[in-house]
Amino acid sequence: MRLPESNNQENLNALGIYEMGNCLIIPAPQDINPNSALIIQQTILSEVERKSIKKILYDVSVISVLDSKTYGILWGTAQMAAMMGARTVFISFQPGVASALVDLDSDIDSIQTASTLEEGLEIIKMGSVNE
Amino acid sequence: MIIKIEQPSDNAHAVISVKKLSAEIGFDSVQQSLIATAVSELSTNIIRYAEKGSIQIRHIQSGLKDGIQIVAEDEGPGIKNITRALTSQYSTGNSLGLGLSSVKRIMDEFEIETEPGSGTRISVRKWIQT
Repeated sequence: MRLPESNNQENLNALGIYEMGNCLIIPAPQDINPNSALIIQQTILSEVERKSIKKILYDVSVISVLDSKTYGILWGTAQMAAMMGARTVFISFQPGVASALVDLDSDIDSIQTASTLEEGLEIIKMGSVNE
Repeated sequence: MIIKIEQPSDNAHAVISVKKLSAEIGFDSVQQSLIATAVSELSTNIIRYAEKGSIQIRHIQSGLKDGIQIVAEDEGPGIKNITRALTSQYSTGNSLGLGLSSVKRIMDEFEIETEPGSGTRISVRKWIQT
């Protein structure tokens, strides 16, 4: 699913994504599913490329159910962004989602998480030695 | 309640219904999310491997215990190697696993009946811990 380049600003607005410095803040929708996760992924990657975004805060605090397929897309988004030079921190997984991800045997070691946006910004700042 | 699973959007219906029922039965919010995740895995498997099927959810009781039962049924290709399907494996990315080991871990009881060519029936139960 590839989004037309010209629609990127519209997508950013529709998805509630905003930019602060070279940091993208993404609010995941409550009813996230593989399709919406892929649309967000595509939008993030094209922003990383177009604006040399270095930091991504992916706010997952409203998600109460996350299956392995959708989590796989979120995980993949962070890995892809990393290959393009941007670091992702997931903000505030709910306890039920965290328990399920462990029970689902998901790869949780290779993602970074924080409990609040402020903490996420701190983590991301600490890692950016080149800036 | 029986929910027909015929297209990816039916997954959301199943997840919302099971969250609602598990809350009514008295599961806490963490357990509700876990049960809903198990249903989402079962429903995704139906769409992916059998194209269509159904998920039945109901309140069950045993003595003084309350619980929930979920039955996922399809008439798809069945599972050739159950042992392998139940082997724990990473389910990230392009998952080849069925996520069944995870469903088994989340729920308290797990039964599977399957035969190549004649579909699969997975019945799982979870009880409220008192």
